[in-house]
Amino acid sequence: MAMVKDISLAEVQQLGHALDAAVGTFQMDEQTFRTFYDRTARLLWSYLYRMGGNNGALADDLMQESYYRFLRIRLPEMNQDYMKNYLFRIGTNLLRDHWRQGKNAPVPLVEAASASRPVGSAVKQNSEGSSNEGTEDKIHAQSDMGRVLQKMKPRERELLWLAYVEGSSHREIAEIVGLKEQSIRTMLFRARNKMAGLLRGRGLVSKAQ
Amino acid sequence: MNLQQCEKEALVIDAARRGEWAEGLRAHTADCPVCSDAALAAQFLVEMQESDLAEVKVPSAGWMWWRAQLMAKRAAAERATQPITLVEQMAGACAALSLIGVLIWQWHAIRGWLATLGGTWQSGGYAAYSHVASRVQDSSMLVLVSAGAFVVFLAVAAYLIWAEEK
Repeated sequence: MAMVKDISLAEVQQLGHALDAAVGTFQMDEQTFRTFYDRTARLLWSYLYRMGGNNGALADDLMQESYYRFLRIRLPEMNQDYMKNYLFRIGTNLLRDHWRQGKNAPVPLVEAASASRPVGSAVKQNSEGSSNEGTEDKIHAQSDMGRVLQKMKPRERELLWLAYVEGSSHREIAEIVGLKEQSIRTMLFRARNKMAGLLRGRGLVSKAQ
Repeated sequence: MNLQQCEKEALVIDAARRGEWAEGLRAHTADCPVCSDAALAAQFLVEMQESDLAEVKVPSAGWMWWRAQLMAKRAAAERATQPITLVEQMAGACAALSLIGVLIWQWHAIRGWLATLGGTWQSGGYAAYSHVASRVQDSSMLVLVSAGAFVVFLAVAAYLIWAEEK
């Protein structure tokens, strides 16, 4: 049975004022937001999707929450790059909160990767037989990609993604993940070695070779 | 170059991200373990992002703006009604405490009344029926008045709803 709350006229007016004030809560105007969103939304979604274990629904939710929190924060004047870093920082923190609450494991990757994602050509197989473009090979390659990410810790994935996909500097990465800038270099080195070892272990080599 | 870093690493990562390799850089990457690992990892991850960007359909900026405003309004409404909810909870707690207090204070009288009721009930079905029937007759006027008030209340509520819709 629905509960109906008695509310006085004064309370209704108070509520109305609060709602009117909420509309003007955002520091950013709509046009600026649209420009910023169009530039960052897909990048943020991809980051949240891969860091969150190829979970599309989770990426959708966290992206929405990230933009909402971003709009609510009173930021000083800053350029678009800094705003983007700030947005990624919010997304990273939301992901961690999600894992801390134990809502689901961070890396259910293999099935999701092999189920839906196509494989491109940037990383090539290092054997004669695997140059074949058949569906079966693609599925195997997708599973390999999923397994490689599954072996990485969430923090390692974040560092590598930010450095190599987003092209962030060590200082920017430190701000996004909340670590000291000095420790980023070593952690990135270890993560890169680990990922390269895993990729080579599956017969993958760089296009530069 | 040291074990962790190479001065050409940034160039290699940039080339790997864009997929455009200068011949000298390609040769360097093949020889340098740092750049080779960086190129491999970068290509692997960039490829993943490319496949995501090709497939993903994010909501429009207008929808996201509207959604954020809605969430802000909801949060504001929750904040505004928090004191009302608090007062309601306090009133409920006070009522419960008062009831417990009255029960404790008047316990002897209540126990006596319950004992009388029990005695009446035990004295036989007919006696109990007569007792209840007489009570009902005594209170029939009260029931009629309550029913009348309820009907008037319903009529007023119906009128208010009709007036609001109009």
